[in-house]
Amino acid sequence: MSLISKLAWRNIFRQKRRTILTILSMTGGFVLSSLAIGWMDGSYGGMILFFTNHRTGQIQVHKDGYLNDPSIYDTIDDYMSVGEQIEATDDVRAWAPRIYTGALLASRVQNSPPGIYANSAAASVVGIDPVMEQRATDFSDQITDGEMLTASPADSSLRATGQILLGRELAITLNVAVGDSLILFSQAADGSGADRRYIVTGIVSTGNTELDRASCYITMADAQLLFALEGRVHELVVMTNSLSDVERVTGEISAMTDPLGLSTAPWKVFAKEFYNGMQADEASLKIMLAIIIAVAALGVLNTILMMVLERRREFGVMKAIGTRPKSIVKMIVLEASIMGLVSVVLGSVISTIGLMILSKHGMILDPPLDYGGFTFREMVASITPGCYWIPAICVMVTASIVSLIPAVKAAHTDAAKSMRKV
Amino acid sequence: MSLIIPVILILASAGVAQPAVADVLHDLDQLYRSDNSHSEMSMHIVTEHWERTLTMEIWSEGRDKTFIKVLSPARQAGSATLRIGSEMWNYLPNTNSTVRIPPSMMTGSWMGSDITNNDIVKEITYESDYTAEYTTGHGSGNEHNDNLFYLKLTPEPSTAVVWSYIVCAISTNPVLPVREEYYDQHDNLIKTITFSDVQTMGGRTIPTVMKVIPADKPEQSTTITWSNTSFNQGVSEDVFTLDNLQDGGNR
Repeated sequence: MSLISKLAWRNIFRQKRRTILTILSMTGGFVLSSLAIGWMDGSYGGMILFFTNHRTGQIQVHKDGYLNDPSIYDTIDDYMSVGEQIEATDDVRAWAPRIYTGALLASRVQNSPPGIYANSAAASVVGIDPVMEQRATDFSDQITDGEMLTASPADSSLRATGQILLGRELAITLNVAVGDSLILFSQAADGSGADRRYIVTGIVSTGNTELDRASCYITMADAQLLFALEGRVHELVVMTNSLSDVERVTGEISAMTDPLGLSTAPWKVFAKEFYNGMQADEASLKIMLAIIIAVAALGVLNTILMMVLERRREFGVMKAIGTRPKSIVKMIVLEASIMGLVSVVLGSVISTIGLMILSKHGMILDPPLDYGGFTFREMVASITPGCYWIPAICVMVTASIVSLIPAVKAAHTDAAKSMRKV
Repeated sequence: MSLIIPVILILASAGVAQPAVADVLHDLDQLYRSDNSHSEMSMHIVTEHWERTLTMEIWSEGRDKTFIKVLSPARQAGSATLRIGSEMWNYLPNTNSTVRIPPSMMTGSWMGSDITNNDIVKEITYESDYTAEYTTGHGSGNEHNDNLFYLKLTPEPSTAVVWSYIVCAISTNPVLPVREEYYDQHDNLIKTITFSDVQTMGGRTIPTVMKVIPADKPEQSTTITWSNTSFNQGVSEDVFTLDNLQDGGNR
């Protein structure tokens, strides 16, 4: 260890109060930035995951033009083979098919004559494959009452009572509960009338009341028979292993589906409203984050500046006994760096504890945030690498760069003058 | 003398050529209307994806009661529609149930045709719900026909319709509609209805074929053909009941 390094090391322990103050200030900056980053990553990542896991999937495949102008006739034919090819793509976790149509649902008013269904409401009907849906998305987590649809064998006569899930608000409109029966009436893709009796097996609450007011769910096999869409679906939803895979996997699936007259889009495209709302908010949060980091850096600057100014007399003495200015600069920067390093280690420990608490017990949002109709009532933090390396760089860079300026100044002071003055 | 003759001629030609607007509207309103009626008709629906013909039996009473029973094809046979005032009910034979059509579905298609539930339910008359004037315009995409007269019908502000005016081509002697073109507020055509095959049926001279063509889907159409109709022969009150509907119109 050179003399200067030794001096720097000893200086740290010479004035303990000053050292502790400086380290605390830098640690505070580290923790503040780290928590802010973890919070931002957690809340937005969580929202995207919530949004894509529960309903939309991360990638969707449709017939060309379906997204802009959905029509019962714009179907993906031979969807099983398309799905199998999707499943074979790297980093695809699961996929699920869906059918979307509209229908009239009608329930009986209490004490009305048998067969008369006076309580009616229009709704969009979603055909889902219970097994594949459960493999791909958290759809069934949204069932608040009753149970998920079961994969029953198709009943080609459509005489038997089918299973249906209703959105919460739709069930209220129709005044039905789990176990009640209702009539679904619509028009099939071949123009004929389609009606069937259903029993409510569950109530779905997605957090989007607009959606829940006008959505019901039946099994894929049922929907294909009822709407004369055998072997055809309107949408394939795809889930990847991680959100960071989405762009790449979208590209790979596109290459396969484009020649088939299908279009593949990531959630940023098909959930544009949600994405745009989130981005606008994220931009403002990023500015906030920059301010937090700047404040932390200013704190570091302040303590180091104070430390150097306090010790002008000491530097004057060092110069008087022949220390070269370069060595003084080196010593001050080294001191700051050692303290910075200690702060990073200390800060990491504190941040990890803080982030773990925040990731378990999020902040209740009041009023709730609303993106694309989905309501988020709680925000939680997540622990990402960015929670550590960004504040670490921030602290180390400010510690060394910031100390450089007063250090250079101290190194070039007139020894006699500074000793006399202080 | 030399002056009077042309004046008379002008007056005469105006009188013969352009009957009073109110009279025309009255005649148009009364064309298919009666205290009660009982008809059979077929409805031929053509869409981009499928084509089918439904035959049906229709009873009506006054302006506010209609009962329609589908006779064929097999998959839809037995379904029926009852309309009382603005209420509309459908009987579905597959589930043996009678379902009320909610107000939100009124703009929806009836039986997959280009006719909406509203078209069946609305009790609109030209006489009381429109103001009319003769127009020199003759609709889009058609040659002016000197034998026809053209009326521009503008709905009264209180008339709830999705179009902003109708250009109606009318033949006189007798007064019969030939073509109706429905326009929105930007003068874009919404749909065209043509009337043809004038016959005497049930003691009246009426066009027995009515064809609806939506402007945005020109390859699509709904053609209604009356095959048999009788006016004012009396219809039992029991026809227009939910019980009859739930029985599939077999009472």
